[in-house]
Amino acid sequence: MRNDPAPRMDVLIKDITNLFEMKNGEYQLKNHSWTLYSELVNLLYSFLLHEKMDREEPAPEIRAKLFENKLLFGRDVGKSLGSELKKVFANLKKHNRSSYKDFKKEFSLAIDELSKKGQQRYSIVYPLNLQLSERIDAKIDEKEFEIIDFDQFIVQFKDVRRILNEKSKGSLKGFLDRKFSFFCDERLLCRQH
Amino acid sequence: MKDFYAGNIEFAESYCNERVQSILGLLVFCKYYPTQIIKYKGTQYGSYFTKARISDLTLNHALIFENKTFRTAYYFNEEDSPSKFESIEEPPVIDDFYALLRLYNEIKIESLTEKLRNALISYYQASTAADVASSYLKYWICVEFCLLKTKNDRESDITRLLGNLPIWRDNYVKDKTRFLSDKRNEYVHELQQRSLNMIAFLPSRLPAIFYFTCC
Repeated sequence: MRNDPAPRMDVLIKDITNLFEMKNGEYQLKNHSWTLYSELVNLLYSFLLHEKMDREEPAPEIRAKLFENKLLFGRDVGKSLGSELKKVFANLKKHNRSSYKDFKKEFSLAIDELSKKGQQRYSIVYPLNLQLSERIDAKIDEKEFEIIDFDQFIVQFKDVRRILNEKSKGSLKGFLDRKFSFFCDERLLCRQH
Repeated sequence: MKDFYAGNIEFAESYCNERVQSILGLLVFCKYYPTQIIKYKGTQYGSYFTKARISDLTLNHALIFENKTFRTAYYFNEEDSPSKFESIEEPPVIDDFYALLRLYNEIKIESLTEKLRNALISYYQASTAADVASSYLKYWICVEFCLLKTKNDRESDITRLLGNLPIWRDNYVKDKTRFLSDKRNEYVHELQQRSLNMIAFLPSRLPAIFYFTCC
């Protein structure tokens, strides 16, 4: 018979929230507790993010949200494990809540908040040695792209002539040639790291 | 229209790189497929080519803009900007491109779209590879995307659809296409000239595949 993991997860959440204390008017991780905190968060992730470990709502919904928003909790390169969860635990501690159910609720709200923040609109442009008779404006897989000529490119991306002319951008200067075309993907939303 | 969401710009760049290659593959295909003989342009010594390519189209850089402001550039290789230009200035080529793109977008079977996308990426790479050996390998990979079948299938989705096209005058085309995978295997395992002839049949029929998959 499979043991119910929920009580053990409640203990885990309680242990993690106990690592937070009031400092300068807000809840922060206690000194010298980072290693333990990371280990416990790692355990928490391995349970929550594994589809066979936690099938109870809202865990599947949380995993779907993370996937949809490309949030790599626990796997972000260059980030300490658990750094993104400190605010979640500080909130739990503040409101004196420490069950796994509470954590999942708070975590789900944090994902919603994070998915809205820090997203920038990017454009990726590929200079092409392509002479076209007309501008191409189409979509593939429901996403737009266009292939425009040099003059249209300069109008759309206003500072590009100055940037490409800078000496430090030597090899890019070659694209300041009216014969070039430019393939533009303009509807990219990415999070800044 | 859908926005494209990514965790970071590096992932977005990698995704877009494949996307641009598949689109350029289709564009190059539209230019070259009506030609009976596709020629490599390059230096030839007798029957031996050194550097030779079919299309001069080059993908060297990606420029990244953040809210229309230049942020950085990615380099795929260290070559300078190309001096030769690929010209696509004949209206039928662009018309074919739009027509095939529209049909591609109407395909509802995700696995088939993925195979065609991969085939187009390989087609682009084959057409623009800097030497004949790399080009040949990429064409071969393109054919593999079209011909390979899963363990449980008798034939690949693409050859099955190709054979069922209602446009053939030759009544035996349906049967011939069913043998394409076998011919590919013959070619891989025992080089035979007649196999080569059949393999060459497939890339030239890609437009027909597009049409059929959307009907």
